[in-house]
Amino acid sequence: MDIDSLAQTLEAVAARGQRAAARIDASAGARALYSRDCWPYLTLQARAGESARFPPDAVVHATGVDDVVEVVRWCRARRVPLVPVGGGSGVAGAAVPTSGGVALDLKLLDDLDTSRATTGLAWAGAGWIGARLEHELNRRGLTLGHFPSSIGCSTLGGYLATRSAGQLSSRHGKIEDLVVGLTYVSNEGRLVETFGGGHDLTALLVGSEGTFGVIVGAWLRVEERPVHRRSRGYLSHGVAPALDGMRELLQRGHRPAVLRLYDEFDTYISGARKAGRPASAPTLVSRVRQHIGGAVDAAAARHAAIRAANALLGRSLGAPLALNAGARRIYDDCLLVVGVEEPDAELADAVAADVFGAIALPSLGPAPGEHWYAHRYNVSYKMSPLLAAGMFVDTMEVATDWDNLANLYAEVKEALGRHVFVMAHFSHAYVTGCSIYFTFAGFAADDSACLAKYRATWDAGLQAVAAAGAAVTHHHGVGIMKAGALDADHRGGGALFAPLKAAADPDGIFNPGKLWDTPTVFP
Amino acid sequence: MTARSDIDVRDAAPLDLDSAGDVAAAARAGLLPVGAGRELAIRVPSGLVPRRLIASRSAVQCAPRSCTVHAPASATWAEAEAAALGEGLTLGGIVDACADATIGGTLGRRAWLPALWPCHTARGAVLALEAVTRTGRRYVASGAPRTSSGPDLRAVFFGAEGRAGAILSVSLQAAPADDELLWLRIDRSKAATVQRTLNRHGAIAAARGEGGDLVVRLRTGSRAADVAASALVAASARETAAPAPLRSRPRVVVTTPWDRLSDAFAAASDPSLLRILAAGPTHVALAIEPTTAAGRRGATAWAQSATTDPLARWCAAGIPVDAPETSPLAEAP
Ligand SMILES: Cc1cc2nc3c(=O)[nH]c(=O)nc-3n(C[C@H](O)[C@H](O)[C@H](O)COP(=O)(O)OP(=O)(O)OC[C@H]3O[C@@H](n4cnc5c(N)ncnc54)[C@H](O)[C@@H]3O)c2cc1C
Ligand SMILES: Cc1cc2nc3c(=O)[nH]c(=O)nc-3n(C[C@H](O)[C@H](O)[C@H](O)COP(=O)(O)OP(=O)(O)OC[C@H]3O[C@@H](n4cnc5c(N)ncnc54)[C@H](O)[C@@H]3O)c2cc1C
Repeated sequence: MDIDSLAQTLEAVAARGQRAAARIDASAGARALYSRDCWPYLTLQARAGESARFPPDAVVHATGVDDVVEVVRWCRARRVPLVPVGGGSGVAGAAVPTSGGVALDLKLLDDLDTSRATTGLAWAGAGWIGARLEHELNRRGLTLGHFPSSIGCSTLGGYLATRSAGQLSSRHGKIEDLVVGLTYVSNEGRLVETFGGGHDLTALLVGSEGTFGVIVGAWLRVEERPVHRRSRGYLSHGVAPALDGMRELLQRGHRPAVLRLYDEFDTYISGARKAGRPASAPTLVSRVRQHIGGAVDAAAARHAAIRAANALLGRSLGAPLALNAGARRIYDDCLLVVGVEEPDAELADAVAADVFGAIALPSLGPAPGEHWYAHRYNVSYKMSPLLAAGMFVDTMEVATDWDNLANLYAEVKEALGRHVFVMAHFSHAYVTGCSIYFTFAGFAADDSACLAKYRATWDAGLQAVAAAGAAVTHHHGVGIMKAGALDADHRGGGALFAPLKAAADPDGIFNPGKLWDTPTVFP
Repeated sequence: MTARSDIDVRDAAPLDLDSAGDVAAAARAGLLPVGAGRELAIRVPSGLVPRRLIASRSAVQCAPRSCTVHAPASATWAEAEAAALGEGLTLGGIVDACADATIGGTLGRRAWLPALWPCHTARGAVLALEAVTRTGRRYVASGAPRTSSGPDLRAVFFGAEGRAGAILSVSLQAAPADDELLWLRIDRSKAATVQRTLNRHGAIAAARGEGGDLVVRLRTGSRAADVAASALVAASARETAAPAPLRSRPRVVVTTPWDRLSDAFAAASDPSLLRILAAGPTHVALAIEPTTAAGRRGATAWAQSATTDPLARWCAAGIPVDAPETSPLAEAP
């Protein structure tokens, strides 16, 4: 790749705009950094000492939309691959430059226009890191309502390109519900607005994972910032009663901000963590037992069993079948966390009365909800110690309608449970169905066995989801990892995608080898 | 693209959606799907054969637990609603607007409307979709209730005026039918209050229009609804009947952000012909139904001035079928 020519192009753009040129970085460090995102498989490869397989030839840090336009034109003229990169927080390999070329970092595209906010509209550049954008909106009394766990390390462009979901999606919706229209740079280096007209181009650009063009910004739906919170925890014996409660709540028209149900073992793990005690102290379980006043005399025996299970967990991730079976026998309490957020106190009280009054489960009071709010972004970052200890951890987020939910949960848990230790929570609920977020941890004798087990786990999980007729990814996108499962959600989709891709990107420069063009084997 | 205007599409030969082989063959032969043929502006591009879609075997089915209605594309909204009501569900305001139109015809039209409850648009109500492409291949989008698996390829068929193939069946989001509804009418000068109510009470409130006024629909029976009703009554809203459906196909429909609503009325030579059709969190849809030729010209001029704001758009009947799209993505498949 002729980096000097690219540099000259960017200097000419800068001279026209009388500003400094966009930075090009072709150092070994930068190329290694942009060779992967947060896909655990690539992290495992790195742990195994493998050098970066997919470095870009150069990283360009665009400082404005005109840089993006010129980089696209430059790449097109030379047939150089171009991968748009936001935070690189994707967990499926979507931003990995498998064909080299330019990694176009967009984080400096952070313009913001809130002059139409009174009418619920704000323009934001694609490079905004979620947390910074939310902070800026909050300063103006507004919220976007999009709170992915990765909010500190992911961008608006990434959310749009992967159809992301935030933790409060039951209230605010997914990113596709929050975008009114967007602007992208097309293959010929033209700025295209997607709103209006008959065809819904926004729907085609959202979720396109960089394959149709580079999103430079979007008009978003913003709301008054809700500053009044009310929350409650509830106890459910098994997941079924709480799932019924969630479904009825939503179908009656309520939209609580927080609606999260943890299965038995996720309740135990997250409950112990929330209380800030050592993981061996089953604080939630004992609190729950005190609250309902039952089986307290059995607590000592249960505590001993739980301590034993903890010790087992540390040692025996390598024997997942026994571990999963053991966990099933020991734990049976599930935690449901419900929270409402409103801009004024009177409304918050009214909504809380409606929502909490509609849930017929034993209440644990506000503590579990307050704990969840205080630690809501922590858990995703706790994977590193486990990776460093030779294990692997990953998450799988799937969705289906309410009629199929129990079946999906059972089938996927069973399929994953043959390979790894698995737990789940239900955290994005809709009128017609709900998503399930499985977290799993596995162990094998060495790194290459770990990689093989990781692949086998995902194969088994995705096959089970497809066989259950459910959506194979609710919000993490496709990337390299789930490309083989795309047809489960879009049977015959490849034949639709090919002409769209040919029309949008005839030279094949935008994130080549992704979505339906992805090779079928893991790299 | 040349067009033949000598054909009345409503006389087109039937095509049975339940016969997969016939559907694929018809698609390969250049199918232009026809629903109820209510969209009289339809023109038949040369090389396409209009076929009226029917379903000889499949019927509307409901899954009440999942609040979902599954229907062949040839079913009318009224047929789907009747089946839904039988299971305690409703498809809501879409039915008022399009009762005799087919579901496929509403989704296939280039025109679209924001903000009919419960899902804002007919397109927004669609969960799963099955279609045949114009090369005769089947496509099934099944990622309900939500997915992040790539772009939303259902959009290829929505608004394609039948040129991308035919929608065969869809699953639609419904709502429980047992709601107690309250309709409140309010002067449009209080638009900001209405918009705020919609955004704070999205699930229980929706708005339409009657003349130049706004009419808010509230699902009652909750404390949150009481708070919403008090806010509206404090802004001089009064109880009213449900707004009547449109009498005729509107000449033009535009969507405009709430803060430009009064500009749109100001731009109309005869504001009494303007009607607020539907309202969503950020935009209001306005229709104009002129009966004279001069009125129709005026409507077009109004639409042009009402859409000078970059966030306002012509969104329905006024878009000429052959108008170029802004992106090559639009016409690809
Ligand atoms: C700890 C952790 C927690 C997470 N929690 C969540 C969660 O709660 N919800 C959730 O949805 N996801 C979550 N994720 C996944 C990830 O954060 C999302 O997929 C996010 O949307 C990716 O944004 P990004 O800016 O990092 O995109 P990147 O990883 O940089 O890119 C992702 C894809 O989008 C494309 N892309 C990026 N920017 C643009 C652009 N401007 N134009 C065109 N294409 C573009 C890239 O080419 C790539 O294909 C989590 C990840 C981690 C590591
Ligand atoms: C009084 C009145 C009020 C109206 N109010 C509204 C309103 O509030 N909101 C609104 O959105 N519309 C409204 N309309 C317009 C109405 O929605 C359309 O006329 C209707 O959608 C057409 O349905 P149809 O079955 O008659 O389709 P047709 O006229 O048969 O077809 C319409 C288009 O869709 C295509 N098509 C038909 N079936 C399929 C299929 N299965 N797959 C793919 N493409 C297909 C056709 O090729 C054609 O291009 C109104 C119309 C009238 C007359």
